[in-house]
Amino acid sequence: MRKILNIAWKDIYLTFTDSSLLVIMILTPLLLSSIIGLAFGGQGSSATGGFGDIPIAIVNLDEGTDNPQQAFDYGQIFVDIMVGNNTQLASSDDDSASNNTCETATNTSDDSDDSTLQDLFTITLLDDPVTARNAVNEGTYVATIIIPSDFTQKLTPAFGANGGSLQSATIDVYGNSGSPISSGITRSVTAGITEQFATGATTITITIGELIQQGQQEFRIAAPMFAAFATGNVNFDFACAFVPTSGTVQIDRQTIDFENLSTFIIVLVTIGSAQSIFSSMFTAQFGILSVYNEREDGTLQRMLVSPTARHEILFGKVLGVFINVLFQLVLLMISLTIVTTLVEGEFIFIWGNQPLALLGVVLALVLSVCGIGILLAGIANSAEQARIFGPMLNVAMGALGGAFGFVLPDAVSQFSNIFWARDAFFTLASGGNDVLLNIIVLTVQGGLMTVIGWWLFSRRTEV
Amino acid sequence: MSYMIEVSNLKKSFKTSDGKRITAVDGVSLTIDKGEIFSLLGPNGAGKTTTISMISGLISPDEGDAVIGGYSITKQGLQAKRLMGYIPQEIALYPRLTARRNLEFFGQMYGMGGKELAMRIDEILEFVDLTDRQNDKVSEFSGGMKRRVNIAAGLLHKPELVYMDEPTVGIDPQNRRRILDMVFQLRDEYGMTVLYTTHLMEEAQELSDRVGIIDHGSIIAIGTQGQLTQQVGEEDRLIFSVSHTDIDKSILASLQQQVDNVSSAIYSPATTNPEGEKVSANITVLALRGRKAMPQIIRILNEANIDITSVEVREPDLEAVFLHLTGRELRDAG
Repeated sequence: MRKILNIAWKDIYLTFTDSSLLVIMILTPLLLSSIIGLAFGGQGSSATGGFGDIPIAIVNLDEGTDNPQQAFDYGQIFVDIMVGNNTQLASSDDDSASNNTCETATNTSDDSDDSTLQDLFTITLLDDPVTARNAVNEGTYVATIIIPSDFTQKLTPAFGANGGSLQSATIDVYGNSGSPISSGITRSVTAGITEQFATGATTITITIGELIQQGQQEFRIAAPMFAAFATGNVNFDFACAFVPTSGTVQIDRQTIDFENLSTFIIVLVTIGSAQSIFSSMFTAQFGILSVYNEREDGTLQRMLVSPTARHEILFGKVLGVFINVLFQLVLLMISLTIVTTLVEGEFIFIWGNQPLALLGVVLALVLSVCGIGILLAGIANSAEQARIFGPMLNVAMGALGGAFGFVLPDAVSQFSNIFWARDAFFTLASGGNDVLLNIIVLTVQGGLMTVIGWWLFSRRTEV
Repeated sequence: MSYMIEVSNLKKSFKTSDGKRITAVDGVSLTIDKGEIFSLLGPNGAGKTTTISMISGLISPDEGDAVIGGYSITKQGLQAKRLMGYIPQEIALYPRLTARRNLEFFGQMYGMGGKELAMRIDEILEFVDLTDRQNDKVSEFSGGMKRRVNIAAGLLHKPELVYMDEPTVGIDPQNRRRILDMVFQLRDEYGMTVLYTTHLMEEAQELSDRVGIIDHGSIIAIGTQGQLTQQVGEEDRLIFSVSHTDIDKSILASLQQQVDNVSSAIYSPATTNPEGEKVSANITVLALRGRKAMPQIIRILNEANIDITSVEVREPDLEAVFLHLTGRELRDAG
């Protein structure tokens, strides 16, 4: 173990005492992120101030549901949340009975949230998705949100003897690649609201499903329940409880906490984290590839003729790279926080308030970044090949993951570890903590690549 | 007498980029006694480094084995490696680390640490005369000083056996002298066994208790200098430096045919040796009682309009042995 630590420490020392390397590792991503942050985010501006005029279009095609007992229309609720219509969140069906309407609670904090969204976007309601997309392409809007016709239908639970079931429902956000930050924010806001719908619908499904199953066993529960359904005399306040903006049951509304997050911070978190990861991928790759340099310089041979097993040398190298990448990311995160503090004029820790989740994301990310480096070094036939393909791979991952200021569709971006890490950092920075999936994806991705790359790369210690 | 190294039938071949297999070492066998300085002499590409790489456990042999101090390098590698010190041809150090930090790193790779390592580093720095520069980065050192740190790193753990792979390549005569003196010190003062590879006949002659001559991956002769030169008999080596860039082969043939007692005559074009010194073109003639044959040789060369710039007569040496055994000179055999 001492030899492994000796090799790792030597690599860490050599990395962090190389001033030109530090410029590439720390200063370059920091400067790029700060410049982009200042350019796109505006110095010290709040979200409502800096992005107060993001022009977007919403096309609500949602047809509600055939279920006469349905209390709400998710598509319309989405529109109401976006435009800040707090007077009534109602089904789009004008014929609905009064008891099919969910009254909004007079909750001042919700009001402030909605007004923030209202200030953030300039929303135009359109009827035709094609027109909306064309308008985005022409630059009239930075994004259009298209709510599909079966949106509510899919989120409406279907109940059977064995309980309830839900289908997956998605809202299409079509963004202009020329306005990456704004369209990115639009996506995040949309995702945040639909997430609440999904949470509510799932809760209803599980709860009623449980009641149905209990009803099958206990007549005293079943009788009034089926009588109520039969007569339509259902108290829909129950369902309303799960609608976002309702104050009856407080579902976490802080997914996108724009009240506390300035646009500068948003840009710094998204671009800064992506740039940091992009830069750390080079650190990992060149760190692993330093085995080739050691072979050329003869120091690898010197280690190999000492009573040190090959796997110890490899472990030492990989541990050194792992710690180097970890240090680099932590330093960049601290530096970005300092930049934010200087720009905003007060101390702001921009990475959220969930230290354990943050640690999990960072560690999973380090594993993923190192895994790519090890895999590349293992696949390449020579150092030259790895040095050519490494940067190409990094640029591709950076482009997919949004490190260069433009955002690609999620379906494509998901192939990049930068996407998953950036998304996790943004969620944490926004006050959320739902990053488990991101951690799992990064860990599995990194673990697999590390194992395969290790197996291939162990051949490289042959001289 | 117990052997420090017993090498038996080592073979190694490599695949070239065009798919062909080339044999780098072809059945090398030798033994080296404890406390002996043994030189492996051969031209560049003869298989010296591959042989030493297999004996040191750096690469695995295709066939054969080397037993170091009783431990098989193929089966008990880690035990065998504890007995060895390795001084490679190139400067195998971290240039951005200080001399002392380099030594600490490599000492720890041999399991050393704490006060023992610190004391040993002090000793070895004194041995290589670099105590006052120990905290300077290796990148700031001259070539000779780097060589000395390179040597120090291989001797830190007081090995019983030291491999030195052409340690004097590319350094000035003063530092070369210093290194050769160190090799004697290792044997005489510390009782170490030294396996030294070189392509320089003078070094092999000066240093070695015994010499193994290697060419095309095989040991072609082995023994003390006296034993080896006996193979050439009494033949002198006559070296005629010439200003011509090309010599007709018929002239060399006529030297062999027309001059009594001439066994071979070869032409070597002008070149630059590994130390950067220019070596003029020459015709080397092996002849019994060379001085007597000299007038006739000069006459033939004059008749062929070849300008002779100098003449040197050498007694039988390792260069002559190599020439005798291979028909080539060491310096241009690679």
